[in-house]
Amino acid sequence: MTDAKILIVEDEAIEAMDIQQRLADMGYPLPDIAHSGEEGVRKVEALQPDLILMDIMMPGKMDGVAAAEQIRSRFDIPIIFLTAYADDNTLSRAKITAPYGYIVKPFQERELHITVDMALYRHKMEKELKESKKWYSTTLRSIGDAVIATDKKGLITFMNPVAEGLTGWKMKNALNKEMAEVFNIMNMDTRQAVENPVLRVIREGVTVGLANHTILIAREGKEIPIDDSAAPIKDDKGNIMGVVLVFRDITEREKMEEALKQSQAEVQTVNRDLEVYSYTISHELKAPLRSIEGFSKAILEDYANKLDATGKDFCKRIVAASKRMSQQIDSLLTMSRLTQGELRENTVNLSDMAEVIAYELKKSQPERSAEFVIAKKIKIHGDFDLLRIVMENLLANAWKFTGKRKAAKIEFGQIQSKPPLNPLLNQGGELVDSENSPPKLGGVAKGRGGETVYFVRDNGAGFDMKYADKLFMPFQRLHSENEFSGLGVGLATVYKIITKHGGKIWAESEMGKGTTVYFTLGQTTPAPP
Amino acid sequence: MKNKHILLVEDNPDDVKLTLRALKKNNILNEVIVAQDGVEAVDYLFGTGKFKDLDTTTMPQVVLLDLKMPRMDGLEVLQRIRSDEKTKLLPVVVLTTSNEDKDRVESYKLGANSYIRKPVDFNRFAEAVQQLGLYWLVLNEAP
Ligand SMILES: Nc1ncnc2c1ncn2[C@@H]1O[C@H](COP(=O)(O)OP(=O)(O)OP(=O)(O)O)[C@@H](O)[C@H]1O
Ligand SMILES: [Mg+2]
Repeated sequence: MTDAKILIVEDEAIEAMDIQQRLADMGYPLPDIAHSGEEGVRKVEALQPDLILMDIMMPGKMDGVAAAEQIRSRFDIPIIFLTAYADDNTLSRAKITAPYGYIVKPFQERELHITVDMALYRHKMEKELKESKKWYSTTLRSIGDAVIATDKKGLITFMNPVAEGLTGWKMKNALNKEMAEVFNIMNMDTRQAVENPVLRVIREGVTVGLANHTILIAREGKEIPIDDSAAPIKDDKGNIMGVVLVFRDITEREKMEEALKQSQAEVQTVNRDLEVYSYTISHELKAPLRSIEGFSKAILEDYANKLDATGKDFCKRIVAASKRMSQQIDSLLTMSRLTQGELRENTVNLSDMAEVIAYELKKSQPERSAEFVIAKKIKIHGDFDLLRIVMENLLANAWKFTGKRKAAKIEFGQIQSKPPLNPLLNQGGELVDSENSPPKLGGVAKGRGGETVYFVRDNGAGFDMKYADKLFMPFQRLHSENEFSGLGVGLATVYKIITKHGGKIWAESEMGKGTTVYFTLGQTTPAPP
Repeated sequence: MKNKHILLVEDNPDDVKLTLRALKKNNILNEVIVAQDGVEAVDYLFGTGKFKDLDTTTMPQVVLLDLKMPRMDGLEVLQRIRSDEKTKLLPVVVLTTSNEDKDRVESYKLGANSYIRKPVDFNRFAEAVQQLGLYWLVLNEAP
């Protein structure tokens, strides 16, 4: 450290200049000189030197020891005393100021060199150590986990505030105590004491995680579930110097895990109940229906000659009604089953799907002339089977409600919705505020920002938008059975599937003009073509 | 006991009546033995319990088997039938109440030959008969 600024405090000018010269010869920048204790203190203040050579015996009010005391109390600068001779009293006073060395006059150049070098080096190391200590302790103080450090015997040397809080011990009371006294742990289930991890680390020299279900018993007896680990602190040669133990209060986590477990169990029970319930309904409820239908048919067939037209009509109605009820039960069951189970996501080509369904619809009523316009290459991520149900229902509706059109036209396509959008939809996907901004057929669809919106459009009978909020509810229909037949579960099922995909669905319609049903598929991004 | 008879395993008396009627409508004159639940069916087939004095050398031609029954359900009966040398090859038609895929898959796994959705009516039964190749059952077998 050849650029170290050195200050020489020496009352004898010749002596001072001699030292100054020698230090300069050794390669240090020319040291400054103060001629008395008082001047020394002043110059330290002004120059902030890296090292002070201080003559002990100086005339005046302030001798070297007194000056050193003052300097030490205000600055962190190493001091080396220069002395020709000193009485015991002075020497013991000097000792208290923790000097970095003594040089006895007269001295050899070599002695001066070594002492100065050593002092500078030692001070530098000490300063670094102090800084890193400060850095570590600040870090340890401010982290959220509790930290306790011990020496190699397992005696406590440090605790951070979190550790103080959890154990109920103040660091100053815990210092040099056995770890086990402060960090008292046991197994949550057996309530047996658990071996202190610190002792194991000292014994085995490896990092130790704490067994599950550990409880810390704080000083005042409070029990806290914790999670922890202990690691050895090793020196350069790998010798254990101590142990650092890190732990944290997991009360909240335990609670949450417990709550999670419980709600999972509840969901499972509910699902199982539902399953049993569904099964029971389908069997128990349908058995009497079967009898009603079966025996009504039997009457119609076996006693036809004993019934007049009205009697036969009544029987037919019984058969039809029980059939319908049985279908309703089936579709309710199907629908409830849809929400259970995971989505099996895959790339699904909605365009191809629509083509197939259109083909089947046309085949089912070959006498109808309807035009299908299906956009190409619409691919998305989703559950194939469920999306098939969606497309089937939407296209079947379009097909059904265009049944009375001569030139029926059914479209399937997609729009890229642009933010900002008018958030007309509430959570349920129903239109809630159609008043302020009348929806336009074929206008920009109201999805969320930048999402792809898919649509199925027809030029059929349409429905009254006043009742749009009923559209997706089970067994709700906006047309009479005479006009268009159906159970009214199609869109309810579709709604469930779309919601399950994280998407939204809504519709726009005009009586006598046609209907467009829009849907999004939530987070699912369009698959690359 | 007659040759070429049918075993109907069904606990619901209405369903029994409707099934018997459907068989009659299909001109099937074979005797139909009705077991009211799984236990009775197994006892009948293996000559145990209530049927311990029965001569079981002549097996029914076909078993019409309901699934949900008290005591022993249809799937268990099916399992017993398939795991015994004597009854292993017996044609079994499962009677289901709904579109429950679960039931169908289960019964096929256990070796059912076919199923008929209840109520057993003319068409459904005719279809199953055709599928099983049991034409002889229909018509000419005199009582
Ligand atoms: N494309 C459409 N055009 C006109 N009205 C429609 C259209 N789609 C649905 N609706 C109206 O919404 C109601 C509910 O539709 P949903 O598909 O749920 O039932 P459904 O078609 O009547 O019966 P299901 O689909 O169960 O056979 C319909 O009865 C009809 O009034
Ligand atoms: Mg529909």
